[in-house]
Amino acid sequence: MKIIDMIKICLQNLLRRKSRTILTVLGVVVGCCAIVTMLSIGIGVQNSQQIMLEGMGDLTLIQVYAGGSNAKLNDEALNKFQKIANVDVALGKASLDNIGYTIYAGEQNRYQANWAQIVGISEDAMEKFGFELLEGTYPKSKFEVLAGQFTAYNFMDSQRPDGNNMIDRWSYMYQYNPDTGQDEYNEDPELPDPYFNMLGQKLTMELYSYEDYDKKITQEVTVTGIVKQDYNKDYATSEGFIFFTSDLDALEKLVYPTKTQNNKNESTYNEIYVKAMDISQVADIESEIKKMGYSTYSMESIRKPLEEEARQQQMMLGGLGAVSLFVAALGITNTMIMSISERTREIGVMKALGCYLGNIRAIFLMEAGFIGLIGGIIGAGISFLIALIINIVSSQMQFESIQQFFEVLPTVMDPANSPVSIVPLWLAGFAILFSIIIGLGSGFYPANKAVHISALEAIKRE
Amino acid sequence: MEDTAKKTPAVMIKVRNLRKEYRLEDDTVVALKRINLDIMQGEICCIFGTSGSGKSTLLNQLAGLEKPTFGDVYIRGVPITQLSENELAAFRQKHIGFVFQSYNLLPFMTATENVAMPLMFRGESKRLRTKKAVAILKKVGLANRLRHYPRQMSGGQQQRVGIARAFVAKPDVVFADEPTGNLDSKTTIEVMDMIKAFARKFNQTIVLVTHDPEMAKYADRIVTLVDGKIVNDTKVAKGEKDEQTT
Repeated sequence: MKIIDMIKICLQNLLRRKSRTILTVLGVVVGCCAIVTMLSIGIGVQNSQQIMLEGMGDLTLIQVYAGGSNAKLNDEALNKFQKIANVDVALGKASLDNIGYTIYAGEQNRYQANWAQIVGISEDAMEKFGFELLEGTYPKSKFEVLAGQFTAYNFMDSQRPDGNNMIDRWSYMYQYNPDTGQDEYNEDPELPDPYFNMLGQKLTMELYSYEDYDKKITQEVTVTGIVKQDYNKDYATSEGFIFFTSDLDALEKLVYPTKTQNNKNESTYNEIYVKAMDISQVADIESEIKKMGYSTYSMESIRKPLEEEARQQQMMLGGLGAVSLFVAALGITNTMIMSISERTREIGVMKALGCYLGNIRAIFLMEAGFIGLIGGIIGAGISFLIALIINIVSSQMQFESIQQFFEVLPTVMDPANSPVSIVPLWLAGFAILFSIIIGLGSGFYPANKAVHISALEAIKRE
Repeated sequence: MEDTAKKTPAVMIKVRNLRKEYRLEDDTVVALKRINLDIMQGEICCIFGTSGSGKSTLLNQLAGLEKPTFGDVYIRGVPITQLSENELAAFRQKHIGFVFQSYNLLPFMTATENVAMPLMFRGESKRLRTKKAVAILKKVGLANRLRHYPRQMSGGQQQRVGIARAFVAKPDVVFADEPTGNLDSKTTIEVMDMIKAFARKFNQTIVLVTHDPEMAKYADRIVTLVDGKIVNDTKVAKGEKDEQTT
């Protein structure tokens, strides 16, 4: 028998008893919806956790602290970390210690900053560390630096009257709202342009040691790029400058020419960061670094138990859904047994006319599988609608027109907005596949029953 | 050709020492007792008997619908009592046709689809099997009922579809179980003439099971069963009448 003929017969059989087929399919739909909705909420929880953690910091970043006498934060350590498997980059962060500085910009040093965060990043790692450039390029040569997003606002204009010679960036972030009568915080306000354009600016640094304030040394640096503010990387990305560590060393030497070269065993970095290729490798890399005698900190210690909890929650929710799909499976079995006992004579006739046993089994398995397939497809579709409704209700979005409703849809379902329920494509596919398997599984016993019906049934008289 | 075939006809169905018992709780009922029978190719053999005589049981054994307790049935020399279910299915597809008392058409299939069903089991393409089914339906006079469903047809029409289905695959043997049991006398004559005509045309063997003595006149041979035993086996003399019906 050709497969197409078997499919046709099984479809004809399903259509003969429409209401029964629909009710059985409905059972599968409910089961499928239960599983998908439960799992989608679990995925939503996991997604929200992930977003929350990412907000707290780079999940792939491991911070390394100095350990005992053999675990210094120096170049040697940096090289060792870089060689660990799956490490994207290892970098050192240094600061300008025991040196005071004033920074000037513009003609005749018109603009002046008394304070700006200065940090040194090891040369070869700067790009890989993932500073987000808003403008310009990464520094290439000596005394080229990156400036933070808002560094320009740290400069005051010496030609304006006192008290009105600076743009107070913070005052824009707290605006008085006449409706509520309170100051409201705005993270990203419209700021006026700074007094001068930082990009490409030649700055003059005036350096002095705390031991001798009068002995001033100047050094010119050039800003090649502006980076986006990211407190997780360094405060310098907001209000400061990012140097190569070698340049910081050079500045130190200018101020303290007599100071001996750093002992090889001394720590040269304040902090070392190790960035993993992927979140999943963080734990392994951390334990590797710990073996070398350092202490570490990463988001992994928070992420792991959260993930574990989310997984348990998901299993429990999925289990609840699975129970209802199991009930649906019983429904399919029941329907198939009923339909087979109704069709005993037909099956007997088919056998008497030379239908192979395998064909009869296949026809009934297909029937059960079809019920699963249709239930799965409808169930997956409805689950998506359920997810939509859950997300709309939980987001408390308001909309007046249908058009507005459709505009809101992509926002509500976007995983980036931490929706309560997420139905990824793989989940829908998995649900349909699972429903088919459930259908086939529950059709197995009835199909076997059909196969064992005797051809004699055809001859029997009523 | 036909004459030589009639003079030395091949044995189509060979029954040897056939015995069938049914177990009913503690009792054992013997339905068939040591049946030996040879049915020739092209023969229309009527198995005649009252209800409970074992005639239906004999048909079941001959057609391989049921396994005997003892003994063997050979069709074309193949011991069908030894075949597995799937081998039997394949054998039926090629060599056996059925006409049932209650027609046994599948209700969700049209007349054409019902007739084409045995060919479908053989895996023939839809185009080819529909062509064959339509051709034979025209021969049984149902050219205007091709797309009708069984419930839309009279008993006589349904049985003609049944006959078309039995003969469409050109089997060697057609088993007919009280084929006219549900029909009036006029339709009975039509249906029986039709079966006989098909059988004669392709030199097919018909095994006809009936309790109606009237049927005997269509047969070449009448085997009478009483209490599971053959009590009479008469060959009807072939006359000119046969030639006319062909």
